[in-house]
Formats: sequence, C-alpha cells, structure tokens
Amino acid sequence: MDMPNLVEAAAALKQAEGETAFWAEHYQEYVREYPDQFVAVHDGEVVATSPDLESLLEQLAARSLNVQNVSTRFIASNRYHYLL
Amino acid sequence: MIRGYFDPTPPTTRPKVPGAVFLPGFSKSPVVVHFTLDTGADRTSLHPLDSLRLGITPRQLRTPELWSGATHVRGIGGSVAYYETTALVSLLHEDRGEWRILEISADVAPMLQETMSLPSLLGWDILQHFRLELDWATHHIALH
Repeated sequence: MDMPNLVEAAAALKQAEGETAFWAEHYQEYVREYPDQFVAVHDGEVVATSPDLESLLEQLAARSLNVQNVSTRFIASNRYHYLL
Repeated sequence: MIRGYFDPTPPTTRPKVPGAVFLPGFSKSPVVVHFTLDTGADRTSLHPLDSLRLGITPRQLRTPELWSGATHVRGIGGSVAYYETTALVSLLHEDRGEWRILEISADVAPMLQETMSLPSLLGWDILQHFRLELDWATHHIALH
C-alpha cells in the first residue's frame, strides 16, 4: 500500500489555506462575472471558465495546464440550494 | 483538535473540514479536499473536480467498466452508481501537530452533469471516529 507523504500533505494544507483566502476575497467579483461556472485560476489570474467541467479541462489543456496545477472552484450563484 | 471552518461563499455557508487525500494507484502526492461535513452521509464521497485533482482521469470517471467496485448511492434526487476506491484521508491535529490517517473505501462520483458541481462529502465512516463540535455563533468547527 502506498502511503501519503505527510511533508507534502502539510505543504498542500498550507497552500490550500492561501487558496481558500483567495477565493473568499474574489468570490463576489467572480459570481458577477462567471455565475454557475467552473473558474480556474493560475498565479492569481483566471485562465479558464466554463459551466461544463470537461470543457474547462479542454481549455486548460490548450494552455498546457491541468486541473492539478491550477486552483479551480465552481462559482455557485444563489439560484441553487443543495440538499446533500 | 482538527479545525474546520464555515465556507463563506455561496450558495450557503457550509461547514467544511480540509483533509489531505491520497488515492493509492491514482495520486502522486496528497491533495487537499475541502470536505463538506455531512452527518447524513453513510460514507465519504469524492465528486468530479476533486477526483480529477486526485489523479483520476476524465475517461475513468466516465467509464464504469474500468472500475472493479461500484455502489448505488441514494439521495433525495434519486440513485446513482458511484465507483469505489481506497482512500487515505489525513487530518491534522493542529494542537498536537499530529496527523490522523484513516483508510476508507470512498465513493467516487461518475462524471455526470448532475454530479459535476457537487462538493465532496465527509461522511459517517470518518465522522464516527471523532467528537464533533459545530457552533455557528462562534464560527467554531472542530473534530476531537
């Protein structure tokens, strides 16, 4: 069984804190521009947007990026409420 | 104490806990998933955006024949066949600087229009190992 590298896990957790702060700061701006779309950000810049995840992946591939080296969120408007 | 947070972004203010997830056979390194706490979910589930970040390919998410295990997940909206895979979920006890690593069989959602934008859920298979504190008034979420 492969085991997770906890040094890498700690680094990922630290990076995720920064990403969470980024999305909280920009969410209102992005929800006006990209409601109900996936938005991918690389180095603080929006590099792909689409309501369809597969289309977003294609856009990223066209820029030699992938979902593992960008920060991506679904920017939900208030039109949907989830019951999970 | 494993600390969570209330996600302030729409559509609702959801209780979340970050965990470093590693999928043997798929992941090259741990990836942080911001799980939504779901005491009504029997099992932890991964939805497409997180699955892709964890190393599962779009083709794998679209192709049930590539998976050895499947489970029917029933929710309010109906029933969908999810895939099963082993997941190592690492949660950091901030006060002790120690990791709690749980090996689970996670449900992986197929790539469907209905599942694409759903958050990954931290279900009862993990929550049963902790005492949960959740207080909206003080914006405090912790797993002990």
